[in-house]
Amino acid sequence: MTARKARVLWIDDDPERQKDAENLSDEELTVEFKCEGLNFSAPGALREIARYDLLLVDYRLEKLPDQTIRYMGPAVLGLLRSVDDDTPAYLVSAQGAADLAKFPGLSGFEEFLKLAELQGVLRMRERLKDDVAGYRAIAAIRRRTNADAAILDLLRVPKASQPFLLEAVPSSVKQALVRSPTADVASGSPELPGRLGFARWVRRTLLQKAGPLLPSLHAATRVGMKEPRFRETRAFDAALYKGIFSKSHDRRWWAATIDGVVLERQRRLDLPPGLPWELGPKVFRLQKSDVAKCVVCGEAQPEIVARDTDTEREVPVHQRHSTPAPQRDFTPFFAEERVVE
Amino acid sequence: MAKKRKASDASLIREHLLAALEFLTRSRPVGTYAKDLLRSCTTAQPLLKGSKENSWSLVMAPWTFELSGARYRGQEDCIKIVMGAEIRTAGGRLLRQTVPICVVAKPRCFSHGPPWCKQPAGQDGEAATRRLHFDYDANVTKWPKHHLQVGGNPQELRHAGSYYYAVAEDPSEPRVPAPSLDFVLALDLVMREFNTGLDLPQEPGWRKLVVRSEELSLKPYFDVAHDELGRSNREVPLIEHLSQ
Repeated sequence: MTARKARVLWIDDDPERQKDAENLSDEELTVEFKCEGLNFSAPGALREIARYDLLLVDYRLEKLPDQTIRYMGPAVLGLLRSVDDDTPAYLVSAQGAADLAKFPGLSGFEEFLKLAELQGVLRMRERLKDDVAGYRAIAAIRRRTNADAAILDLLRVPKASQPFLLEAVPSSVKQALVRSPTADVASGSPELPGRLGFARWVRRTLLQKAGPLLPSLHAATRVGMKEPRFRETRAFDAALYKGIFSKSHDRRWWAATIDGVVLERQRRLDLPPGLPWELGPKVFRLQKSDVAKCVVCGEAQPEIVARDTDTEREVPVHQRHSTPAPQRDFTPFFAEERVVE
Repeated sequence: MAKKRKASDASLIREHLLAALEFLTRSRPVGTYAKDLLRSCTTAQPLLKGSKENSWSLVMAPWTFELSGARYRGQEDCIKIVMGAEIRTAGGRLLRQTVPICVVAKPRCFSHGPPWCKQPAGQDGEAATRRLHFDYDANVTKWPKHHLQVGGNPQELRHAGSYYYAVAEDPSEPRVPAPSLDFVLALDLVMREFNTGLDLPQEPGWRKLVVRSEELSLKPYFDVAHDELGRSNREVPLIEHLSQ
């Protein structure tokens, strides 16, 4: 049985974008473009829009023809949320992410996409398909089912990482996944209820912050490797995140499963026990040039990744060469944000 | 019917530590306000889980509590507590256990009495003003196997922070004969005495772990001391008895 074709609606006031939408479409994905003939106040118009799997909404819609009222993207989303809680919407703009402050109402959207990203056809096509598949998988969760089991299935969590992941999911998000969606979705709260709330937690918290899942620099540092070497090795394939929305972000690895890989090798080689960043170079017999080094002292075995406040880049450092970031957040079960001393 | 074999000390301690690590890695206050401890526990847990029941070693990555104000008078300058834990067992026996604790204070002068100098000579960073550790060492005979020591090797906690050691490493004496607090009891003590932001000592799950630690760590020590002190015609002082 083949999967139902993914249907995406792109609402934009620039007719030139139609060809971009057509470029994205293929046999598994239809990106319909609407510029003319949109009347949001017509009976049933919003419900019609809500039948799509995903919406791409331009921020500025002032030039949208056939409108008696001039809308902006967030206003269109507001109207949609009056009839529908579950349809995800991404904001589109030609302007860069550095200008995010210019986009009031952004928090109601699941994602911010630059036009140039949407024009990167091959990558974006796969990403949109993957995102739609993720939203559909969430929507397919039966109400009153076991939330933990559903989450482990959606995120395809390896056994060793399951207890850590389940602790990290806020109970409100967990329960909302298996309850009827509520009407409070438009609030823009990071923990908004309903199924979209779960998707938002996955995309904005689990896949963004180091915690149960690690970005590659964090994962590499944890096992005492330099990032390029870590990205090359296949040893951690079992720890690679393969759950919903895995194509929306750079690759991520399950922290506890990474530890398990290192410890399994340590036992097999009959080496003395130790911490993952101490054992990694030994169990993988790393060359000196592949061993992670602290950017402050140049010594091996930096235990963590911290932000260099001069460059704003994350770098591997020894814990002793870092301090907790003054403006850190305290999201439970996610890593402490630290800055280089 | 086969007689059930008595579990070894190493196996009982391992089982207890696994329960403690399980509790801490699932504790929301720890996951929110003591992320360093959480990281240490999450790396220690699989290490211990995969170890042999009767012969295992555990070195926990040191962790830091950022203190949020003073709990008692005199703690106004204390900003951090740094802790660690290291345990070694073999052949079903506990061989060595050390739980170091460092109390770190704001930059201040240690050379002159009050009023403190505003420009401390030689050190202008954070300083460990107290360092103590609880030890158990099965192999020593020169001093009590269970003891509490002030000072000691600062390298044990060097991973956790770069601060000036205002405590001399030597002399290592005296080693005060005392029951060696294990990881759970030492953590409980710190949470009770300092403002770590963690209220675990009032949580039933944590209290159960503390009571179990008392059974495993304190009871054998006090039993030995009680029996020895209750014996008639004693000729060996307790401190020597505890060293044997």
